[in-house]
Amino acid sequence: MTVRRRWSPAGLALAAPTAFFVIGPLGFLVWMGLAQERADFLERARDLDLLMVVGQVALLATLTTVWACALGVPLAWLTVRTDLPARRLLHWLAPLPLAIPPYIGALVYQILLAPGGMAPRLLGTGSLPVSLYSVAGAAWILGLFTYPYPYLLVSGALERTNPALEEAARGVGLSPRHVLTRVTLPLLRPSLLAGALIVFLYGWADFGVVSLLRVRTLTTIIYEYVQGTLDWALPAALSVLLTAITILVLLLQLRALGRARYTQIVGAAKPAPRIALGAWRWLAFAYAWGVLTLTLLLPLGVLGYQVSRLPASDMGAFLLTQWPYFVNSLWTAVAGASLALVIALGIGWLEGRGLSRSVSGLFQVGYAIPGTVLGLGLAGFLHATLPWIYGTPLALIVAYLVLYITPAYQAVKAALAQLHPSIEEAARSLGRGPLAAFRAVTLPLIKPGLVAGWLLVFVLSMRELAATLIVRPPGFDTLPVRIWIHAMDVGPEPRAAALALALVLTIALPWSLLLSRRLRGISPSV
Amino acid sequence: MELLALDRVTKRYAPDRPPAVDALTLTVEQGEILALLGPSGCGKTTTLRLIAGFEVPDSGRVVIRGATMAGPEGWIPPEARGVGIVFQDYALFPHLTVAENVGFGLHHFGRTARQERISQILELVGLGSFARRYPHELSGGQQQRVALARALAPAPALILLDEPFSNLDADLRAQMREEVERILRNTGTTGIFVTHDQEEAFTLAARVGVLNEGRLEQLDAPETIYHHPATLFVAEFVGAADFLPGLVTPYGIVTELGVVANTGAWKIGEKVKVMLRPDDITFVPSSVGDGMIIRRDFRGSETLYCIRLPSGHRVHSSQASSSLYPNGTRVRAEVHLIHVVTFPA
Repeated sequence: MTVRRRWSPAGLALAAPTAFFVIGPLGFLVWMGLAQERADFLERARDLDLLMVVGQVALLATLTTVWACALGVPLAWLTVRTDLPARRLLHWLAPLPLAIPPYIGALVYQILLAPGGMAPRLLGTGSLPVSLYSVAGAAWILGLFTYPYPYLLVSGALERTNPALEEAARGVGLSPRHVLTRVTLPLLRPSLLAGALIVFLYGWADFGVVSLLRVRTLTTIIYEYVQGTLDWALPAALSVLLTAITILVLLLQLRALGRARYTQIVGAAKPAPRIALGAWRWLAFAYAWGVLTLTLLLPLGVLGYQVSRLPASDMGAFLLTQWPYFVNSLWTAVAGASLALVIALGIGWLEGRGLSRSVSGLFQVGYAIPGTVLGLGLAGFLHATLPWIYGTPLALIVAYLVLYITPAYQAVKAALAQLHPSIEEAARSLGRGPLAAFRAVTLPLIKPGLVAGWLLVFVLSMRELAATLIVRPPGFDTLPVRIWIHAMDVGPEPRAAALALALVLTIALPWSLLLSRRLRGISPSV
Repeated sequence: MELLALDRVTKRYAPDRPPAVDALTLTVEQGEILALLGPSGCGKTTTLRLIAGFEVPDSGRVVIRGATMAGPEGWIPPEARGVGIVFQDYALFPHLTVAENVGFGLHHFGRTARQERISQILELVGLGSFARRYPHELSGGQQQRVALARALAPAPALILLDEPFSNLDADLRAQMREEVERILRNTGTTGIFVTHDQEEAFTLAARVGVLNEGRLEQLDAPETIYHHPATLFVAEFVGAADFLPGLVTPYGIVTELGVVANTGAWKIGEKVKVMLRPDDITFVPSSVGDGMIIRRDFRGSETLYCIRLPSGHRVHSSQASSSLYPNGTRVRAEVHLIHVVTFPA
């Protein structure tokens, strides 16, 4: 007699190690953070001007959110619901800037806007009236390279909205303007909120951009402490603060959405009629291409131009020396993505067979931890418990696993949700055991979703900087780490640009594959 | 020979809810076609899933061909039961061709034996020329046939059909019903199908089991179910029925519409309900009649009248479609009962 278990041995075998690596680092930080004298901590917090720093990070995250939504939301509406010229091309191009990590964006705009950069020289002035090295400058960069999050979520929601809802509103006598304010926008609320939230938390937890632009935030203070001193208490306390506010924001989002339902998907709903922009269409056209110029065309052009300034032979010799770092990035990202996908698949599959949902719930926690915090927590935790992992590239793979198993899990769940349980039952009734049925039927059918999930985690791991910087073993640099070190030590010179271009091109291929696989429903984060 | 036996099988999904299947006992003979009929939520699909092995019973025993599939001594997984299933949504494998779908259960066969069996079965269901198509390239009726062929290919002892015709258009439904019956009888396959459609159950099955809230209310030939319903639920669920109160007297059971025979051996003085089917009641228009037509439903082959009696009770009468009386017509209703069915009041 088989007994239904909430926790099968296989489920435990998969969930326990991952849970260990999620809970462990956080627990370690909380423990370290609480270990110090309260008075002592307050005094040091005053020395650091901690309140001012927190306020500054909050301002940065808010500005970033407003700026990213201002770029992404109108663009989503224009490409999905209006007769904007070349809207298909724009719709395909708009998410591509996600292939440019914001720290590379910072590098690009340093080349362009820093004192003595291309723009000031072109204008014949030494520097610009607003410095790039400020909260406003960091928000400018972060907004430019995170706007695809609100864009993807809002355009996806606009595509899914049943036009019959808007027609019903017209039918009861609402004017087109009232339909927009009372039906369309309220229906977009959750996706708008979700997109804004991703950007806000990105700005809140960013390390790459603010470090390059010399803006003091919680993450840069944590990193300075980790590098400079052997003192764990203060960075641990700051990490707990950083994570606590992150989780608070996530909980607020859950509350804000409440119990109302917003999805209204009808199988054969016809697409909504496009709104004719009339004379406005060329202004809208200029706006759309303006956004893409700032976020995609200009960065690629600047990087390309910067690379071309160095003689080809020098560049070749330089890139050859950097080859090991590229290999480091590649294999750790491949290993991280593969491991995350296998575990996510195991959990997703077992969840359909009675595994408690608290397992996947646990992983969402890992997703909410800022990279800097996870790096610090994991380094300390591994050092204390598994020293044979600490100081090896395995630690990096564990970091990628904890940070990105959630998107892998979401991709697996989305793929499995497409399958009616009767498909697998049919295979069982035809004489296949559970594993044989999975191999013969389920696996081939969910393969596209698995490939998409793998590519997503691969891209995210390839570009990860903050956790990698702290967790990597001495001498084991990845491409993002090399780019960051170059840009910090030497500045945005041609060699850094060459590495950045190499990384962008490596990411761009799988990323555009993902987009063409119509993965737009899944929200990749940080 | 007894092919399937369920012995007091009980399945409960949640401890605080009534069981989905409650001490169900029934047997199915080799080659028989049995229908399980009942409203949604009556436990008929759960019963199928218990037989197939997708659910584990809390207690009781499932026996197929004398071997215990589920019971105190153990549980056999679905893949080892040799039970074919046709799912309501067909559950065809979209990444496999028709031939590969049909051959899916033949993985123990040799290559040539498999090919032969596939073409044989596809001929049987009339899809010989569709072997290389994919499921999405077929019509609903063709998909259904593939699902049936796939389930039949490994020559299962028993085939289960879960609302097999509910996804088909009405005209196709009647055609597929005949075809499925022909195929099952030609192959000598024992079949159990569940449905909420009594017409489907009556035309296809030799015996019909009526389920209500997880319990088997009656298991009998269709005629018996209709004319001699064992319970009030069966009487109401199968076919239309009205009930008139009656008083048992030495001369028979006295009702508002006359006296009917006391076939139920009720004691004198007892109060009962007498079941009246629409075809048990006729009426003649009469200016002194005390009934009144209050509703007329034209149904094509028949016209159904609703008549209000002086007591306020309503009865229905089925008449030829050529019969036309407007609402408000005064009538005298008469009862012609061949089968007297009574229940305690």
